[in-house]
Amino acid sequence: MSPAANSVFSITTSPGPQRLRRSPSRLIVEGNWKCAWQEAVTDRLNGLLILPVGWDGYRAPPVSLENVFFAAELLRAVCPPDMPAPQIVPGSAGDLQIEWHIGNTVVELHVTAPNAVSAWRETPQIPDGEELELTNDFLPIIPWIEALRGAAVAPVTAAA
Amino acid sequence: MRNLPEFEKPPLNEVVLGVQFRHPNNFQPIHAFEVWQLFKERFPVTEEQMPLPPQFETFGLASAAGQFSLNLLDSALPNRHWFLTEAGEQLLQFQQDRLLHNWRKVGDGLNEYPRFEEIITSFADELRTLEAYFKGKQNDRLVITQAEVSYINHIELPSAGPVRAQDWLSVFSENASSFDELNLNARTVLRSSNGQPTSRFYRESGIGVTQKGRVLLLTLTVRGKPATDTIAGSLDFISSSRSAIVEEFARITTPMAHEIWKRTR
Repeated sequence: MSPAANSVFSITTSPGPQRLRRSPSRLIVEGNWKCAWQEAVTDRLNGLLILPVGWDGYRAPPVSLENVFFAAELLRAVCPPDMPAPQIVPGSAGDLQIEWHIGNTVVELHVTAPNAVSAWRETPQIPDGEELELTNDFLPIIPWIEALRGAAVAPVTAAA
Repeated sequence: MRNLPEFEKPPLNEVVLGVQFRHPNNFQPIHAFEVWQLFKERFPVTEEQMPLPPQFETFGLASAAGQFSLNLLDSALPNRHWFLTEAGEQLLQFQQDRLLHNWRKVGDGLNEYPRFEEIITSFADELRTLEAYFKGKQNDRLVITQAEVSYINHIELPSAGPVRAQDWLSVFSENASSFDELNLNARTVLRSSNGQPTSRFYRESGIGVTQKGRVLLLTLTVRGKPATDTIAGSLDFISSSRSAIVEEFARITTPMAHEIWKRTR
């Protein structure tokens, strides 16, 4: 969206091919289709927005709209186009967790609120794991994602 | 405070100061009426608009721009409310996660820009008033997730014929071609003193048509996460961003333009 969208004279439009998806209570338009994980992530985020209150058997609300949008911006900042799609798991307080489990490597990004992300990874070289607290700068975890991507590609390369 | 460039007659058409905050507890769409009551004396006129989707500047891969974005059409967010002065030259934009203050030229366009210091003083009061209201609904305070400032300029052009952008924008060389259409976007990551990315500087330029005729639009926006998520932090962010915008405006426009706009510093 154009930064001038807050101008009273602006009308925003989304560039490129789009697809409309209607859900029982929300209507969300996805952006451009340019990467392997985009459709799966968009479907999942749509689903988390419309979880019923008490989806966990207690009183958990759906994932909040601001957390969904922040997670989308987080993934846009860290995920190369050919990255395997992550699992996205709702929390009990409108939060969510983005996870990859590839081989013996785990990366978890817990979005508790916008600008509040707990990042965790565990690898064979780091069996006790390491954790980072992040806000909106995700450069520190780019190497984690690159290592995951490498682990995802390696079996295919070996087979070839 | 550093000495910023100044102009007697800048082509400024609109200024926007804004913050985005975490959705407060115990606030429902119907409470927007109560928020209007807080500002009604100065902003007695109301309008409703489509909501603005949540917006966040994040930093990571250099090639991330444009790959993927979510947009919201309708029904997932309550509407955005405009609270306007009688003449409409200033307004507040309010929704459950946003407050923005706009100044704009209206009518014959002769209403003078009241200057940044006056607008930010008003905005600071409005933010504190809103925060006090939310505290009454069992919230600790406004938790600011993003702040922004935009300066939107309309440079008047002849009504017809190709445009010599180099007359106005110093990014073009003197012997550049003239344009019938123009659409130019650039952005820069701004960093703190320790090198961490904090915000983005957006520059948008294009040829457009308004009620007054053809114009060269020049919009300069800084948007990002303030150093602290408080009102004070967001006001500091807005002030320093505005300084960056004013300096950039002087840098990317031409001496000829500065003469027309009567640069005084």
